[in-house]
Amino acid sequence: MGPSTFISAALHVAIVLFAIVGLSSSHMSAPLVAIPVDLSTPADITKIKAGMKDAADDASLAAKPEEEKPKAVKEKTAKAPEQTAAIKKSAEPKVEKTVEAPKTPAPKPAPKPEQTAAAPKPQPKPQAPARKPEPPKEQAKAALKPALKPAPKTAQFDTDRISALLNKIPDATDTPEPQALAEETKPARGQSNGTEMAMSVNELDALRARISECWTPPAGGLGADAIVVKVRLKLNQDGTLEGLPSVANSGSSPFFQAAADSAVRAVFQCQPYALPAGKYSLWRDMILTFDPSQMYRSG
Amino acid sequence: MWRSSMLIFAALLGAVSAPAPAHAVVELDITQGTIQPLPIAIVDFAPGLGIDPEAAREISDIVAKDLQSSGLFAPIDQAAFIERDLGMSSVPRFEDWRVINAQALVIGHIGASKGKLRAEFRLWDVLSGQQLVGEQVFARPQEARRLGHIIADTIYERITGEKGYFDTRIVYVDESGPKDRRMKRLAIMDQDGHNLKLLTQGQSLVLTPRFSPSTLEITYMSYEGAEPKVYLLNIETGQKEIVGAFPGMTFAPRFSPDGQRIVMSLEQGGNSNLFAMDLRSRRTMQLTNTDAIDTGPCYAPDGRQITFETDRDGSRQIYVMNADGSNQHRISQGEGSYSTPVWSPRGDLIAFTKMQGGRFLIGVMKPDGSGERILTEGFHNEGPTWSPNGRVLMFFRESPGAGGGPRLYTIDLTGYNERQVATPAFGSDPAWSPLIN
Repeated sequence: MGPSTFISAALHVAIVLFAIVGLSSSHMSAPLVAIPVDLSTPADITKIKAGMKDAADDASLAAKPEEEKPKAVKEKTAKAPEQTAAIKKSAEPKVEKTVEAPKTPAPKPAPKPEQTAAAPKPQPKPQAPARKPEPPKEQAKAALKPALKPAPKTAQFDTDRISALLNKIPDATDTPEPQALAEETKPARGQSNGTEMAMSVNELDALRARISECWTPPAGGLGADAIVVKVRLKLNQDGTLEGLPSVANSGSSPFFQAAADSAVRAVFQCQPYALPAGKYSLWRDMILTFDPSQMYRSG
Repeated sequence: MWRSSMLIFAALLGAVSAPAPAHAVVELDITQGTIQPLPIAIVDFAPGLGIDPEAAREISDIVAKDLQSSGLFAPIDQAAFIERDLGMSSVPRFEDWRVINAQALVIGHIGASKGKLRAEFRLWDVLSGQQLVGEQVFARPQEARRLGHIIADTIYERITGEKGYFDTRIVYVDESGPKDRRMKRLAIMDQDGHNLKLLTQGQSLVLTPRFSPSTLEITYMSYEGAEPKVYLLNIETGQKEIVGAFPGMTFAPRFSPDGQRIVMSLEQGGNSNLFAMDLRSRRTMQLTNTDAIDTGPCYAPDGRQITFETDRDGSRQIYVMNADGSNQHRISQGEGSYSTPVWSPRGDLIAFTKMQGGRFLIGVMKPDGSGERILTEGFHNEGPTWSPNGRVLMFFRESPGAGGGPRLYTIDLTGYNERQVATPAFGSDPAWSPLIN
């Protein structure tokens, strides 16, 4: 009992010392309880980090796909007439169906989406592996920095959302990340510790606000406000959509289709997404839940 | 202890450098949107063989005007269009439409087929590049405008998820002549004010016309005989009859949702009570029995309840009861007096006229009286009637002064989209038909 208690005590002291030394370099000399201050800082810190990435990178990335896009669309137009011709044929027989009662639904040309889905894909993939060779160095650098300032880091973890924490960890090991970090560490302006493993609250808020602006839910329908639509989307590094977004849930309400369409339109309308390039691995794959229930007052 | 300490230490280290699951997905809740009209590009419909290009263009023009009037769509000025030669059978160059911020695109073609007009149209989602609707619509040449209304309804329904209300008609009281000698005639027109037709010639005063669910008959009150009575009129044949053989003045009629009954007020000895009459058996049933004035009855869309106005509490208030007259209870609770309750076709709201402080307001409340919301107010607003999808109210507003008179207006449930309905003369007491199809 005795010796183990000592050892345990010693270890605890060591940990505390370790923490104090770490903390002393930061602005907090007060007791550790002062942690709540961090409630606002993580977002700010990440914001500073986000600000570090040079705009030039983004621009160059954005330019390429846009140049290529038209090509894809042109191909579409080339193929399209065939599709519509087919539609027309299938629509014809129904002509006789209604004379007075007018609506004669004609089949839709389904194939289209696949084309758009296919077109953008090739671009991002080659890019990521191409830069792979570089990262190791940066990774090393990145690894060093957090080691120097471990205490503040853990303080952030404490106060940040647990879910965010969970998200952070995964992406440290993602391959694209180091490459992104490499870009970031060059023009080091804020503290760049290379471990930006989560979207900051501010970044998420900004994204949320942006999509809110693009989203026009079908308003006023009876029960329409209770319809939740989940849309999964994948993004290219330049913030454009990689393929077609997909609706990840379904509903029996007559409003569901309209609600789902409005969500998908919002996702299209909002691109390109201006998100921190260094965190591409985090935002390349997103699930957005469109829930208008809070938008309307009762009545 | 030692071991547990080591474990803790290891755990602490682990927390800093733990490897993690391979792939992350950002999940985000979007709980706010922006309510704004959808920018829609509507290309002039192309004429087929033997079709006047102007006539074809008029159809697409109707589509644009209908959609715009809903306040939910913003048709884009055609001058901004980049792709000019877009045909029905080709896929649009979506980038050209994205550039002008169109989110939806309508193209169409008007042709003739076996003596009828045939409209083909497509609705494209510009952003995703997908076709949302591709349909054909037929109409007799004299009903060409209906093609536009039906197409507008289809687009409206596909985008909003709700049935449209453009292929509908309005019956109302056309008012002409000076204020003290006003001639009131029954009139019917399309929802957008076109195709006006007078149903009576103005020899006697008419009030409160109401559509049957079949849209072929209307019921109204007229001073035709010795006493004002409720009449039933077939719009197609012009056939007319008095509803019920009541010993007194009958007024404020309205059809039940199944069209089988008419509910109305009967005035006897200074007070009035509500009666329902079965149109087949001609049997009548007394629903209320008070020494007050009970009037303005209106069925719920399921036919199980009736809302009405009564002054049994001193001032006019809105009540709800079961269709057999049981369980009469007051639902209006605010200040002022309430009248002309109308149950929404979708059942969730009751529209009313409210008089408070010398002003007339049009509002809605839930059938239990909660959630009262005022949509519009003015010098004299009255007589709301619902669009068949329960989203828009039409009412009449009287302007003050010697030269003033009533005009028809619409307002949607948001209370923001108010519009005047074009009528050649003054108009009052509008009643909105169900969708014609």
